[in-house]
Amino acid sequence: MPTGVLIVDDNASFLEVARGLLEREGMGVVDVASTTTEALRRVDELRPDVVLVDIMLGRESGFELARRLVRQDGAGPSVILISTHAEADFADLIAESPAIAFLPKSELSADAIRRILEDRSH
Amino acid sequence: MPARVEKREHGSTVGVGDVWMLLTAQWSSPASKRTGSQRTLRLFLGMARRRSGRSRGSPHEDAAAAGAIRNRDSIARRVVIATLALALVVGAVFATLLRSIEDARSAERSARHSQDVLIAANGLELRVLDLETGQRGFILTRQMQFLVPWQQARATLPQEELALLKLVAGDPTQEARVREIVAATRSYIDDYSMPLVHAAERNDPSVKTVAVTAEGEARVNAIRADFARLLDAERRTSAATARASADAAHRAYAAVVVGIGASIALLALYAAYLTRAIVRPIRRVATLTGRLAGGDLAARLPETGVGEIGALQRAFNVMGASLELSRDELAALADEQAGLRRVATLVAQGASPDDLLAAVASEIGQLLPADYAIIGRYDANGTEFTAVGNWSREGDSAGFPTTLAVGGRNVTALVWQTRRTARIDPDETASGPVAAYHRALGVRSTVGVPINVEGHLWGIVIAASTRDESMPEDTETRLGRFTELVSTAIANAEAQAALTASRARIIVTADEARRRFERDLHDGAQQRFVTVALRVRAAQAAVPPDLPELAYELDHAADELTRGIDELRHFAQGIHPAILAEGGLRPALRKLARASTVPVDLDVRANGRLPERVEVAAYYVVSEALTNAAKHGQASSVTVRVETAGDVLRVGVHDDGVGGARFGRGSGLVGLKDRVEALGGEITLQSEPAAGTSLSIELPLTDDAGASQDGP
Repeated sequence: MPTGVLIVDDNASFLEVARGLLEREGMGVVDVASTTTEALRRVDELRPDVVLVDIMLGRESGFELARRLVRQDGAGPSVILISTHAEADFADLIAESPAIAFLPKSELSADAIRRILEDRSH
Repeated sequence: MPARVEKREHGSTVGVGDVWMLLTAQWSSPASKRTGSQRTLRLFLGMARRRSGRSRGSPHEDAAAAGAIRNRDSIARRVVIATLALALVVGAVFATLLRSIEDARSAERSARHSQDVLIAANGLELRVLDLETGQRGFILTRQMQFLVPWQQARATLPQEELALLKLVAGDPTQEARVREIVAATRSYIDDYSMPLVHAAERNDPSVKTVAVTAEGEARVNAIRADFARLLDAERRTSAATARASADAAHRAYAAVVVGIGASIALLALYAAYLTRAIVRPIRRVATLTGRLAGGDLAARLPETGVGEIGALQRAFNVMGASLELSRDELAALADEQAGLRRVATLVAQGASPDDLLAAVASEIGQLLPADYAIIGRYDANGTEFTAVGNWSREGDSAGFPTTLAVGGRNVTALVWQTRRTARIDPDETASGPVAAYHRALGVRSTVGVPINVEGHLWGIVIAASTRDESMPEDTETRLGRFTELVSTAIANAEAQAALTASRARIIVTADEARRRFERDLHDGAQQRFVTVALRVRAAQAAVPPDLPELAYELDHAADELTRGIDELRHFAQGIHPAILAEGGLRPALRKLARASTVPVDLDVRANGRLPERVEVAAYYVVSEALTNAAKHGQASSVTVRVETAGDVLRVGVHDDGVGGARFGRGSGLVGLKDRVEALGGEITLQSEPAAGTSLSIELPLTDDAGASQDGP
């Protein structure tokens, strides 16, 4: 099942490494974005299945972007929040957000994303 | 008449007639017709004054104290005059009496003299009769015995004649009569009796003739007629003298009666005058002095008295007025001191400048005869001034404009230009927006005093009056006493505000630095390490199967890197909780609650985001309280309540631990106290032993403390 992934992060270096890592592990990365505006445009254009959103988007908030990406009717992409912080640091905010999961950046891998998606589909 | 008496200088210039005028003037009219008698009195005094040759004192002397007594008005002088008058009357009575007594004595002497004359004349007449009867007996009988009385009479006659002559000496008529009698008697003896007796001795028959006898009888009758005239005249004189004596006695009696009556009347008038002019006024002075001593300082005497009494009344009134003035001045001073003390108390209590300036305006307005009191603050270049404290006698200061332009000619402009006090009196023209505004209020006069703070002109205190007269001269001085306090208070408040702002800045700056450090750590090192970790994993995936050692090393490196990243993350969280910036107080506190080893009942009633410094302070308060509850309090549960109330945030943390917590003792509570107070908040700690610990704080949500307005 080919999965289209959009990575949103304000750190170009991370975007490059993450893209390379996921693609090498066989996951299709449709594009990367570094701002909210850019991310929304890419999602509209490319219709990714999954959007990885960094919680700390520079001056912008990843939680806010997650809220805007996930539509009320559920037609939007699945949002997975990523951060260098631990999940416990933002526990309440993550729980309140429409994101389907939180993934620490250091544990990022195609397998981890697939597991999250599989857990959700079951 | 004046010309005559004016010559008498320095003497008693008031005559008896004047005294009488004075006395009649005083009592000739009833008290109700006082004006008439006073006019007379003035006439009298004026007369006395005119008669006095003395020149008036210099103006300086005239302006002497109210107690000065003009000599001519002095009661002592009048008393002396009245006493002299009394002495004159009594003297006149005694003089009259003496004269009458003298008259009576003289009449008595005169009567005795007349009696002597009568006796002597009668004796002489008897001698003549003796002559005649002796001579007739001898002629008829020729017996010598009859000649004895004749001879005796002849012998004594000259002596008795001389005695009578002596007695009537000084009365020519009577003397003439006596000389006539003496002459007739001599003639009778020499020309008739002697020849007749000699003839009889000779027995001359002619002696018995009718003719001779008739001649003798005629002669004796003539002499007796002379005696009759003499005696008659003497009796008349005696009767007249007796009448004169009776008259004199009568006069003396009348003089005594009139004199005693006049003396009694004079004494009565004198006593009445003393009562009226001295006793009654003095009694009145005594009564009013009692009232004065009792505190009724408004007691005054009518200044109607003369001389010493008038001086006493004037001095009493001056004393009363000066006492009243002193009391009023003292009361005003006490009021001012009380006002200053109230203001000083406010200053010492560190009251807010707004409260203080309002209080000062009110105190000034009530102490001065002002209708408005305004405290204004100049802007930096003196183009505008803003009213920061207002008071009006009508109590409607709400309508004051907050800011007016300073231009024109008015106290705000003058004070700004001169840096000194300024005043606009009712007759002066003022201009500019402030003057126009004052005119609209009906203000006629204004006084402005500068408020200098730390060497620069900060503002102005204005007292304004709608009255027609100028503000009192001491207004500037009295305002000045308040402005000194205001200056101190404003300097204090500014220093306090600056200090508070500075403390808040330090806290906020430190917080910002920590947040930035955390952010930099996240965006920099952490991010980079994560990226490296991912690259290592990518490299791991690319390791050929024949290089298991490399795979092992890379695996290790990745694990170490992950642990390092975790440690760095913990470290960064300790510097500043990222969730606070990201999600605000509620999720940050819930994270704290979850992390706490003691169960926490958390209730946050604060919607939306709060100022960052407030969120940070509240977060640290709860964090520290939770740490203490777990670490020192041995609590089994903690309640945390957070709510916004108006423009403050309230945070309360209560645990059921052992209590006994104190600020100080090296606890983190001191840091919390500093932080909360720096932000203009309040912190209270209740931690009785065995009664748990309650920590409550209130933090202002506004920027009053100047945490951001005077930011770096």
